[in-house]
Amino acid sequence: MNADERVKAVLGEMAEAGIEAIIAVCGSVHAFQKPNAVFLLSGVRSLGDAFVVLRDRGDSTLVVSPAWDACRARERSKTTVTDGAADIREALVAAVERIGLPPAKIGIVGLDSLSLAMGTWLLRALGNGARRFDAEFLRAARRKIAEEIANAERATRIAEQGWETLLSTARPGMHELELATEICGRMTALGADDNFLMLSASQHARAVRPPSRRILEAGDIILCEISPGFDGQFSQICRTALVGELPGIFETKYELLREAVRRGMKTAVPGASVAEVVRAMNLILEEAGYAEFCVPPHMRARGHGLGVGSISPGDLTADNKNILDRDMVFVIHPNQYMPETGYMMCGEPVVVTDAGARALTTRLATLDRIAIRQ
Amino acid sequence: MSAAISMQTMQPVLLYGQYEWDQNWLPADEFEARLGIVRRVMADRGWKGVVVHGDSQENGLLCYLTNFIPNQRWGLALIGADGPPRLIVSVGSRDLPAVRKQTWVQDIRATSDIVSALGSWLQEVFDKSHAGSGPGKIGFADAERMRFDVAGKALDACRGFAEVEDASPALVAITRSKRPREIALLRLSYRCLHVALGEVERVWRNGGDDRAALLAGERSARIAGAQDVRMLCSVDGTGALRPIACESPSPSRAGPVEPWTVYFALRRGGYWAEAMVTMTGAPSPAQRAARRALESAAASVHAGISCRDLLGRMEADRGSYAGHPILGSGACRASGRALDGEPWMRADSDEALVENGVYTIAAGVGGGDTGHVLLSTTVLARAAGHEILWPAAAAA
Repeated sequence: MNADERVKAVLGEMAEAGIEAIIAVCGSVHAFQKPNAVFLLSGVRSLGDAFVVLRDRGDSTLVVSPAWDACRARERSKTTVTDGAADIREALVAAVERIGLPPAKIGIVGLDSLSLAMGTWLLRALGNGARRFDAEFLRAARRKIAEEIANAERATRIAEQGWETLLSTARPGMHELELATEICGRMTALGADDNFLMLSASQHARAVRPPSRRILEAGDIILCEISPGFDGQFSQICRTALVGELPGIFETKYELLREAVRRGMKTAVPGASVAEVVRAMNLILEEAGYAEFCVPPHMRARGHGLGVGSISPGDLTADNKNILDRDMVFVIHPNQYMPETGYMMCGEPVVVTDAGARALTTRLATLDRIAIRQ
Repeated sequence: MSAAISMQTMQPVLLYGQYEWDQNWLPADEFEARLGIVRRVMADRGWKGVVVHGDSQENGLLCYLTNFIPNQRWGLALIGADGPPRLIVSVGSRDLPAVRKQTWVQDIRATSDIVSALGSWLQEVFDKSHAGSGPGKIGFADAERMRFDVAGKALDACRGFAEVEDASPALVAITRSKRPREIALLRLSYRCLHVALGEVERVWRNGGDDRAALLAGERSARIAGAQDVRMLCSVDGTGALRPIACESPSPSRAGPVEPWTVYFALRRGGYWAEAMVTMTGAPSPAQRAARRALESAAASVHAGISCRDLLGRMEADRGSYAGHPILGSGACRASGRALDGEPWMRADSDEALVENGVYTIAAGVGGGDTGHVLLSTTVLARAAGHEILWPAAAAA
């Protein structure tokens, strides 16, 4: 699928709903696990509040704020017209007036991503009767386009290089934040435009946490969730490394997580539900005697979508009945607490293909070791 | 009123840095004192309680009262007329241990259900206050910035108990005048900034490209304890700035662009330090004029001076150069507590600088033979006089 095909799919949903124009909005706070409708239509991650107007004829206009960011937006935007606004509220009002349609013919997407002030302003400008169109829009945009998949692959390469940097840099005596700084810096130098990084070390963890000034020590288990973005598309790998030598039980238990990833990937075919994928992943752990640990707080979810655009299929949880489709991109991560080892992390970003999910990584996670240099 | 200025940076999806509560710098009695001030405001206004919102983007008030900075999503500080404050955070329960290390507040609750979290607190507040004394009022700070879906639920929950008034102006006013410990932290932040920008300049002058230079500065800042680092720079001579770390390499940019303007901000210990610098081989006449204008403005800073007078003085010294496309010829804003949300004031503003307030004054020159120039200085306004936290001389 390409950007034009995505727009066509959205237009199809609009026609079905009797909508003649949509206003897709986003605020300045981006979350890689929440969908960004402006990014989905334009390919632009905005600095400030922004919106896209898409007409049923297929023409579209992106307006970004602040106005001086229009140059950057124009280089990237897939919309017909791209403009900047010094006052985004006034620009919204003007756009609504230009649309010139009754509210019932206008759909809003992304209202919840705005601040109260901006959202209220938008609704006032539209008047009563404008409809929320999020569900239909996100249904149309659930698959990644070829460019996003390619960017997810680039982001994955960067993530893997970030992990390699961690393995070559980490040593007892340095603190977590120092290590996080080095690997984030490396990833940004490689082209990452953002990073959702969790990194922590301990002798026995219940969960991963943000990096702190805790000093690395021999016998630590380093947990890492590395999620760089490339041109607005995030990827994520989950990895675990042991500092020095630890008992073989860690390898044994880690192999359970690797098998859970493999089973999840095999089950993730178009038409399967997320719940089926989760069941397949949980089964290996349940069979190994960890059924009581396959629920929060011992784990969170078995994976999730990867924004900034579409986050389909959502969180990989046992009650998620969303159906997988080709070209959905998400992370499969059976990160898990086990009493013998503590929390360990293992996860791969995948794209759904007809033959099952294909990992975007060059190698599946292994339990890595950091030798203690004398 | 002239158009608003925006020096917007790219908000990261997740903040990382040194967020643990450092009692050496801000012991519990500091927060208790701040709480006391808020309670006096509450009594003056008849508020039975105050709700203070903050999210990962804007959290100055939340941080001021609790030391907590949400690394993603939001937090609410709930302050009653007496008793310890409560902190509600939008995290999973297994993330609470990490939150506890960041704040002096002991009553911390993780929730995704803002309605019941607020409702149960408000029930306690209004049970405590005398029954039959009327519906009462509460103050709510930063509601306008809350996410639309969350804000609606939060305000509805509050209105079920009391009339809700906007507490932001009153609470922001409290934070304008910096307390001694805050000033000490700001000095530390600016020392950290000085070193970081020194690294940026060193790499740039040794031939490194803009990304390499900025990353060197960020690394320096983070190793020194920065909680957050934001960077913008010029790339194409149009005056526009870009979040360069958020750009995949552009094939059209072969190397550093001269003059090269950088906006660099870092947060350390909860306090932002920011600067605009313009680097060139040799300062142009426009750059020298902008610097003179800044130094002249800085020299005139004292508590009580209005932005109109301050920036008017700068206008007289900067010559007839055109203004910068983003900043115009000059602007000023309160600095330290917040970043992108802190508004810039122009020469038509009569807002006066407060005693012990910290202000960034910026000068801009745009286009023509001079290229675009942005410079800044940051000053602490004293009753009579001032202290320079970031000198204009560091900027050119």
